[in-house]
Amino acid sequence: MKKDTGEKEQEESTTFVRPPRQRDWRLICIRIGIIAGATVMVCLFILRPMVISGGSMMPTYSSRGFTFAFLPYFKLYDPQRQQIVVLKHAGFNTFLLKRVLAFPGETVEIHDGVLYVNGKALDEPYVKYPCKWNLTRREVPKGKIFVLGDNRSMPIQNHMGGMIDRDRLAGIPIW
Amino acid sequence: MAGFHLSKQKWFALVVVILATADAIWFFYFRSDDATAVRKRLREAVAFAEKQPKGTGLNLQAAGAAHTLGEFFAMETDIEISGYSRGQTYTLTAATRAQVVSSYFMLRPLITSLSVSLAEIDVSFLDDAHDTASVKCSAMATGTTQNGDSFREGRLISAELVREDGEWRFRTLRADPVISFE
Repeated sequence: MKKDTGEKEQEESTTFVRPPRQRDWRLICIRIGIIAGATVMVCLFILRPMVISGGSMMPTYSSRGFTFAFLPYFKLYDPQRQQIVVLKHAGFNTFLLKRVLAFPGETVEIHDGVLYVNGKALDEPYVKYPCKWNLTRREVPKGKIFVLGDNRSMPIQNHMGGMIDRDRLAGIPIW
Repeated sequence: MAGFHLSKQKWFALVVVILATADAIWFFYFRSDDATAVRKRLREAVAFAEKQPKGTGLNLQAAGAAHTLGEFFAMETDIEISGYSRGQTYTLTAATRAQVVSSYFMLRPLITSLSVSLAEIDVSFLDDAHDTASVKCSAMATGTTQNGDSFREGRLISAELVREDGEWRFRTLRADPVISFE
């Protein structure tokens, strides 16, 4: 009997009754403000959401696709050959999605759609569409990198690619 | 509204934050130093170059526009705007203010709408008196041609402006493609 009473007392001692909570609007506003501010900061400086417009990276990325650009990447690492990168184009909100293919001091040329870097053909399994481009040999100047899209089915004149300042590297797509 | 009650200290802190924010906004947007004047002039030039579809926005009359455009440039200029777009190479060059005006009125009818946005504007001065400014920025031009084709072109702008009679005027202007095979 004594034991039963003890258990009952213990049960009663762990039962909480909460008073009805009043909504603290000030706290709610502060929380919403902090979350909104943090989200804007992350989207501006760390993970920039991007809607892909155009088919120059097809079939790797389709037009009207969506990805995030990881912006601090090139503060930590150097670009690698055949890596897909996000480049600042012009204005505030336009970026380019391209593949890095050659670095300063290297030569590039294209014969019948085959890209040669320093005279050696580059194996490009990601180029799926037929390409008949030709580009005479040229050296990548200091401070620039050579980039192209994966879709080379259009005439070379209509493709936005070639030499671009290295400091326009903005980040990498996260998928 | 009991939830918004703030103590005196918190009110004071809030006022300090608001004043600091207003001060920062004023400093970055409304301060009147030479660099800001150059930026303002750049934006005025862009606003002038932009073109709205007929019936909307500001479309200047030719006579007044020629005079206004001329005011943006020094008498002796060195303008070179080149690019490659849709299979066509084009280069616009001008060595005098009169050439700039005539080239502008020759090309303007070919475009039905044009809007330009500037970014990454960097202004530095080439002399101690701040009478010659060097400007670098990127520009994105979007619009439609007379044929109905839409275009979207990025350019890296480098320009030199000189202060003449209190007005900043372009002495040199280069617009190069951000990315090209050359």
